Amino acid sequence: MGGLLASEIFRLRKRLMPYVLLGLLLAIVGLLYLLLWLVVQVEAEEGTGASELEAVISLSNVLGDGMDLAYSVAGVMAIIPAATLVSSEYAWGTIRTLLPRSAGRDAFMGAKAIVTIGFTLAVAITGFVGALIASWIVSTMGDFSRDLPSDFAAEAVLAILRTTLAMLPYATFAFMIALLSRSTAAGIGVGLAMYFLDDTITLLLGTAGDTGETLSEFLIDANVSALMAANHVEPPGDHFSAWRGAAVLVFYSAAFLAVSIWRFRTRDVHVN
Amino acid sequence: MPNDAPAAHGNARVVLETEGLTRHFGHIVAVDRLDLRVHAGEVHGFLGPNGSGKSTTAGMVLGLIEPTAGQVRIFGQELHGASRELRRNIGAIVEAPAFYPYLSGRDNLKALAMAWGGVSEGRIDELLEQVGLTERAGSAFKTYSMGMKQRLGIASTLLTDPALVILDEPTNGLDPAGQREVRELIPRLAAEGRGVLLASHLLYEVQQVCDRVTIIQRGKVLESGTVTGLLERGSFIEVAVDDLTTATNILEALSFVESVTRENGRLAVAAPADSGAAINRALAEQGIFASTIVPHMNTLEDVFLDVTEHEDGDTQRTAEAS
Repeated sequence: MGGLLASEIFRLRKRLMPYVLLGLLLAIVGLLYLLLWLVVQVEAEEGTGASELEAVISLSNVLGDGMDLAYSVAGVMAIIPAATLVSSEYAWGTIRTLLPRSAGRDAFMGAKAIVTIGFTLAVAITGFVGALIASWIVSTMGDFSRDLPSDFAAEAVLAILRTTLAMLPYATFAFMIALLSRSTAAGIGVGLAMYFLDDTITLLLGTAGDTGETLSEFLIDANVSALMAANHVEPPGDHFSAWRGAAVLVFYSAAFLAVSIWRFRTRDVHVN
Repeated sequence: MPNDAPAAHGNARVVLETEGLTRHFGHIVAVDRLDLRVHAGEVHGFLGPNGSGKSTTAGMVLGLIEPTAGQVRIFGQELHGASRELRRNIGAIVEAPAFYPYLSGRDNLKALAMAWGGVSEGRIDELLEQVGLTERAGSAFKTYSMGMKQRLGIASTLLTDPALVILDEPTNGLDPAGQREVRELIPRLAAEGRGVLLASHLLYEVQQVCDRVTIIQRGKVLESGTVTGLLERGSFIEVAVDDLTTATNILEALSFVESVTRENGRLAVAAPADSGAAINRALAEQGIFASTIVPHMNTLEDVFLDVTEHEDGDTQRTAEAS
């Protein structure tokens, strides 16, 4: 699989799309911080007192609120390449060129799965870097709290890993849909729909009695919330354990990848 | 030399063998108990009308499509579950050359070489040179003309130095000079010890470069044999003489003559194409002098149309009867 993985990385590095997506992520995170900073300035001028927003965008909260902010955008950037990674091979017909002499179908899908996970990590790192730079700039301009914990580096690594894991089920879901449908549009469309509607579904299900509430705790969004809450010094809301959230998200990601690999193993690759 | 190249063409190994290869798509039988053998050092034409099952067969040989029944063997080893080394021995362009549009020609070959392993950077340059793409190797594939795409396809086919090469319409989109280059390249590939399976609609092209052909229709083999053998079948020698009855008797007595028929006041003698001199001698010895002895050779197009239209007629009659 090493050769296939090297080839995947080589092709991804040569493609413009990943750079555009990561650049967009940096720009959007920066823009969000700027907008929130402007709101804080307006509130200060109107004398409504220190806003909660000030705490949200301050450097000292970059791991909690900053990563939440980055996550809200980063998921989209993880879903798009995950879907295109597999469906583009069908669209360009390159699957029939690459596959016959490669190390086999499992290795082919394995390499793509690793690249999907790797790129999701890259998205989380970029989101963190964007939030870090933007929060430092606005905190300096607004003289907000810039205190960082002594173990900031270790906490930052954990926050990045948690954010990666939070995005991974959506990315692998888009990957699976793109493979099943052999369509980039379907992978991105259904993946984004799930990403944006998941919290609404979780909320609605949570109001449907005890059974609904129990079921909602096993949906992706509830577990993402539990995991991302661990990035905060004082976790917001009432969540179950982050470890449980992580386990459920790992399960979802592994299941989506397993379905993809299983389906691809026996599927005809049509040459017409 | 390709991997596992045979020692000699005369005693050539079977590179590709299919036995009872079958593929159903629902009720449609795309490939029906196909038996095919491609030897090392041989260019094997694979002919059939559109939708006859050529691409499905190629897909099964490449492991892209799962057969419903039957086997594909490469060097006598079952392809299903075959080692990577064995599969690296098959190079193919099926339908149209397919590459990453945003990568250059060189980077496309590099990406494939990485994925397949065991290909040196020097090999990439050598192949780019061989197919005449060195100058445009750095340009993005999406900017290539159809001919350049075909050339890159041929280069990628040879990247792992395969023993079996499958080429589907390799001259499609090439200008006349490019077509000639490819037609000259194909026998060279075979001369290097590779088995070449060539699917093409250009029957004169197949006639020029192939040693053997297999004609399929609706997934079934209609004819298979040497090009020379197929061309001789149905060929005849036209003989013009004054005394048709005596000449017929003389010629029918010759061992190499299959039949003699009268057509438009002349004789159509079913005999090997190179037997004109023997026919002339036999007639002259009996005092009959031919004013014309002209061999009429079939073309592959004649054979192909005869075989496929004959099959069409049979199918239609069967359908009408039922």
